[in-house]
Amino acid sequence: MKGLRYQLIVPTRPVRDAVLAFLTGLEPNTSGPFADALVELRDSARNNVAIAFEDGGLLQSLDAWANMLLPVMYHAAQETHAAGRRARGILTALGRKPEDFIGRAATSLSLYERRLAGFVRAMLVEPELLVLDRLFEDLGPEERRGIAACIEIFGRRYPMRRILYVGFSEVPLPQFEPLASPEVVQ
Amino acid sequence: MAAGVAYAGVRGYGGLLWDVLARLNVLRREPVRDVLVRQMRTAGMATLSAMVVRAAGIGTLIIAYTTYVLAADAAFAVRILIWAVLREIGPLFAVIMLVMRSGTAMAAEFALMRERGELQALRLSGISILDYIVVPTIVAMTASNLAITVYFQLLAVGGGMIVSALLMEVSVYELAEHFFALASVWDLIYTVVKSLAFGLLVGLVICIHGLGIGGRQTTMPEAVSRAVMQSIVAVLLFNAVFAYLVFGVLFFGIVKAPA
Repeated sequence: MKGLRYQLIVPTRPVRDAVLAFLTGLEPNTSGPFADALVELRDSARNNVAIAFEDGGLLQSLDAWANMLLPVMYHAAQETHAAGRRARGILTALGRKPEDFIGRAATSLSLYERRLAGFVRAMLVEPELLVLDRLFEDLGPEERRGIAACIEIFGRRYPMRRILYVGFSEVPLPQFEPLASPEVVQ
Repeated sequence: MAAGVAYAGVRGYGGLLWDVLARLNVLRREPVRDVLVRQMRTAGMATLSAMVVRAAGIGTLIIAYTTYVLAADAAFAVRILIWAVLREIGPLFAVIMLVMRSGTAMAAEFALMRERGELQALRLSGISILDYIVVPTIVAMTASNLAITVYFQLLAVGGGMIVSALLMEVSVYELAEHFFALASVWDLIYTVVKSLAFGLLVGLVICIHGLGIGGRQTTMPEAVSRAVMQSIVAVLLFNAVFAYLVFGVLFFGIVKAPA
């Protein structure tokens, strides 16, 4: 595996769940023709994997801002203001204001905003492997462009880190090469 | 078969308790402390606000009953207040209020988190459910139950004494004197240990059923119902066994410890 960006088209939700669980180490083993590629991806990430979830993966008990800072504060034990400063930097680079998220209930965000919050949350932990979970699906063209801009910003900040897009259908991202074809995954 | 299920259940609770005790250091992490504070607010404040009238009412009821039905004097009325409120009714009533007011809400919240996929998102983000949810919840329930019990006892004993003073034409000062003469440090230790254990048990049961720990994947209404029922059963069982261990009697003296 020489590239940095891949996409994996999965046929069903259980397959997607199994892929995510394997990459994050919740499942020790994987099987199927794409197993070797997944093992290599996981090994190269050295347990530093973050997922930008399709629904943001946000907790309803926290506001959007606290959701964004949760993993980095939990794992890296960063102070709130240090983590907040970094989150502000990323949001500004994405053309968004932190005020769009501070104090807002996670349930009041649109699907795009939830995905954006989830993306920033994943980016804050500076992962070796960033997994994009169906981020382009069910969005309009403008919002898709927003997600593509997020990916570019991640690529610029961390040029040698890998990105895996996992989805039910292929996305027109020229830099993403297939990890396995849909027939192979089935 | 039933014994096997009960043994597996006890082993499950024991294992979870052991894991929680081994992971208490996670409370140093800021996000976990935030959950602890939030759970204490849910468990403690919600229950405390509902307690005032009920606690004072129970103290009053016990004193009124003792005075009129049992024709007791001041010292006997205070003794009953200590036996009933301080040792038994106080901790039991407090934990039942905790289960009804906060336990149901927490079990429902956890079950909803499970159904919405939030728990899986946490796991996939490398955040341990044990560290982030179970440890702060159990610590919060344990500490809150102690606070609620103390608060209940202060109100019930205080309310009971004021009513006694009115009913029996004795001064509150005299009743307080009886109280401090009759109440011992052991009563205090007994009630503190009991209320801590009650809170711990309720926290364990709620986490197990709400979060579906140990493969208990149930729907939200079922999780709440099981959490409440098993909390109350666990508390009553512990109460009986603890009384047996301390006083040597079980079921109000029907079963006695061997001499």
